[in-house]
Amino acid sequence: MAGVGELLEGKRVCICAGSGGVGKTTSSAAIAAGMAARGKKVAVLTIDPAKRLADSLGLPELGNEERQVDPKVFEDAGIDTQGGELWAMMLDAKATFDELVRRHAPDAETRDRILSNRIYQQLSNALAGSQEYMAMEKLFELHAEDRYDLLVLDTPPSRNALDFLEAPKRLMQFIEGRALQVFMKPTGLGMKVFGRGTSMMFSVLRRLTGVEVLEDLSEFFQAFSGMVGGFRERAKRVNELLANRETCFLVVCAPQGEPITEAVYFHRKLVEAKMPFGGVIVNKVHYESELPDHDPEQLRSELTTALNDEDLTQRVISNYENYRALAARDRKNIKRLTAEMRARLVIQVPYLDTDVHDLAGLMRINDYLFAAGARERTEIAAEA
Amino acid sequence: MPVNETASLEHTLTEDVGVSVDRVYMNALYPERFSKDEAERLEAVSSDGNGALRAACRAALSETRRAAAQREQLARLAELVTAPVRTLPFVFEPELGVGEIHELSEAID
Repeated sequence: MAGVGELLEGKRVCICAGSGGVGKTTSSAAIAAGMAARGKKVAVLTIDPAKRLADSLGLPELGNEERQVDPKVFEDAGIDTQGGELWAMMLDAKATFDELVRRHAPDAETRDRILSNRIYQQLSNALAGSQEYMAMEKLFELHAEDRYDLLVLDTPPSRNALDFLEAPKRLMQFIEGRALQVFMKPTGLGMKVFGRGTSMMFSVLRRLTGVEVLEDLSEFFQAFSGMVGGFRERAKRVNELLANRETCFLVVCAPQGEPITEAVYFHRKLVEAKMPFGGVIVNKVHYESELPDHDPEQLRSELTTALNDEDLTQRVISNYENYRALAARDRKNIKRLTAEMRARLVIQVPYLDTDVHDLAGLMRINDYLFAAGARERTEIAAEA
Repeated sequence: MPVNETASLEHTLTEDVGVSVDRVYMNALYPERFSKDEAERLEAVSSDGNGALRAACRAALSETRRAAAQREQLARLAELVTAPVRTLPFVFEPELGVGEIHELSEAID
C-alpha cells in the first residue's frame, strides 16, 4: 500500500477522525496542503485551527466561510502547486444551524421568528451533537456546491471520536422525539396548553421567571414544525454522503496503547457502519531506524571521549535507552494495529522535535504521509 | 488533552455546569536533562559523529527541543486556565509498573 496521495485518488471527501491530542488538526492541514501542492483545489474544515499555523498561512481570522491561503505562501516555500489551491474554514455550529434554518424556513416571517427566538438561540448552541452534526452539514453543503476537488474534514473533538456518525440520527431523534411532537402537532397537548394565550399558567410563570418562557417555547415549536421534513431529508442525504464511495475515512492516532486500542475500535465501528475506511495515520512515532543497535560499552567509551564529561555521558546514555524503549513500545503497538488493519494503510509519522506551525512543517509531515511506502518512510526517518 | 480543549473544558465546567476546578494537570512532561551549553556540545558531536554516537546525541537534542516546546505550552496553559497547574512526569517505561504508579502518585499528591 502506498501513501495518502494514492488513497485519495478519485475521492472528494476525506474525513479525519480520532481522539483529541493525537495531531488530527495538523494531519488534516497537512493532507489538504499536500493535495493542493499536487494541483487539487482543496478546502480543509476545522473546528479549532491551530492558531500559529493559521497565522503562518495568512489566515489569522477564520470564520464559517472558506478563505484561500495566499498562493504566495506556497511560492515562498518553493512549492509549485500547478494550479492547486488551499482553502480553510473554521466550523461554527451556531452559524451553520442558522443557515440551515434560513434554507428550510417556509417563509421569511417564520425564518425571522425562529432566528430571534430565545429558545432557538439557546437550543442551537446546546443541542446534543449539534457540533458534530453541523460539521457534517457544512461538509454536505460544500460537497453539493461542487467548488472543490477535495474537502478535508477535521472532525470536532468529542468524548467519542465517532459521535459524528450518529449525529444526523441523533438530531432527527430529537426533532422527531415525543416531547417535541407533542408541542408541534396542532391537535396535541401543546396547542391545548399554549393555544390559550391568556392562560393562568402563563401569567403565573411570567410572574415567577420574569420572562416569556412559554410563549417563546410555543412560538419556537410551532414555527419549527414546518421544517421537520426538510431537516429529515437533509440528514438522510448527509448520511449518504458519509457512506459514498467518493468519501474516505482516515483514523488518526498516537502510538501509545490506549490510542491504538481506540483506533482499532474506530476501525471496527467504521467497517460495521459500512463507511469507506481508508487507513490509519499514527503520529508521534519513535522510529527505530533513528536509533541503531549498539554495543553499550563502545557507546559509553565514544561519548566519554567526545564529550569529556562522565555525568553528561551517563545522561545521554540514559536518554538513549529511554528512547529505544519507547521505540520498542511503539513498534509493538503498531504491530497490533497493523494486524487488525488487514493490509489497510498504516502510515507512521515520526515524533517531530518541534510543533508544526508553518507550511514547511506541514510539508515535512507530508514527506511521510505521501511517501511511496513504509520502506521509504523508514529511510526518510533515518536520514532526517 | 490539548491546551485549548483543556481551557475550554475548565470554562464550561465553571461557567456552564457550575463545578469548580481545583487543579489542572499537564501529563507526560519531559525532564530538562540537558542545559543549553550541553545541547550545543551535543550538537557539535552529532555533526561530526556517526552510528550510535550520533544517534544518541540526536536523541538527546530531540528531547531538549521537545522539553522546551512542552514548557511553552505549559506557560500558555497556565495563562489560559484559572485553576493551579501541576505537572506529571513523562514515564519512559513501555508499561506502567508499581514503581511508575508510585512515582505518579507522589507527583499528584
